[in-house]
Amino acid sequence: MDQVLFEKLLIFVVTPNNTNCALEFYVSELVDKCIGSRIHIVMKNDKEIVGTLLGFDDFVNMVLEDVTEFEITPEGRRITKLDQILLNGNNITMLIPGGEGPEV
Amino acid sequence: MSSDLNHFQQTTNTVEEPLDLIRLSLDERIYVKMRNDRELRGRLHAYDQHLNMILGDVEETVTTVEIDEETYEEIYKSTKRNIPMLFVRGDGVVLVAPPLRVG
Repeated sequence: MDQVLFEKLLIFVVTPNNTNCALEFYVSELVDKCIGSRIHIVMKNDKEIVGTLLGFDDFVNMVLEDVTEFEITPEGRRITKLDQILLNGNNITMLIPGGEGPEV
Repeated sequence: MSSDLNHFQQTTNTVEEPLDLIRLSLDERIYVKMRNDRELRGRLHAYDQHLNMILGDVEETVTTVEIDEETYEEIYKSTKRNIPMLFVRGDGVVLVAPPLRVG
């Protein structure tokens, strides 16, 4: 994972905390720090997407560039797309900032 | 930096509702069971009412079952990977607990 990005995120996350802060703002701000970096998105089915984050909205729908799509079950097959995609946030399970995807 | 963190909700030290139990685990290591046979063990940095969470220093375990064609026995396999920081979407979370201790 990109070390600089990781440290930025860690400082951001660890700083204010012994209250249940309104995490909606945390989430937007955390994802905002990832704009411009690579992000690895794990979907609900056996699919993972890696791309450069261009932007997102309140529902965490995401616009990505230079995207690689991985199917996990059949020996990690890859489908590479470029230009830009709009990813529907409904099926996202996890976001991994700076990740490069499953090892294949 | 654009962080305007005046969005704090009320703080109380007593446990009044289920989410308060999770509050007790803030900054501690926890175990999260998710849909699709995934488990996470990591440090809880933040959470919200949807159970969206930010976890650090995470180990993810994915469990699969393969059926042997001849013997029809079930073979359970688990794959682990380590992730330094991640965001979990709350609708995939099934349970949250302190990490399981053996013995």
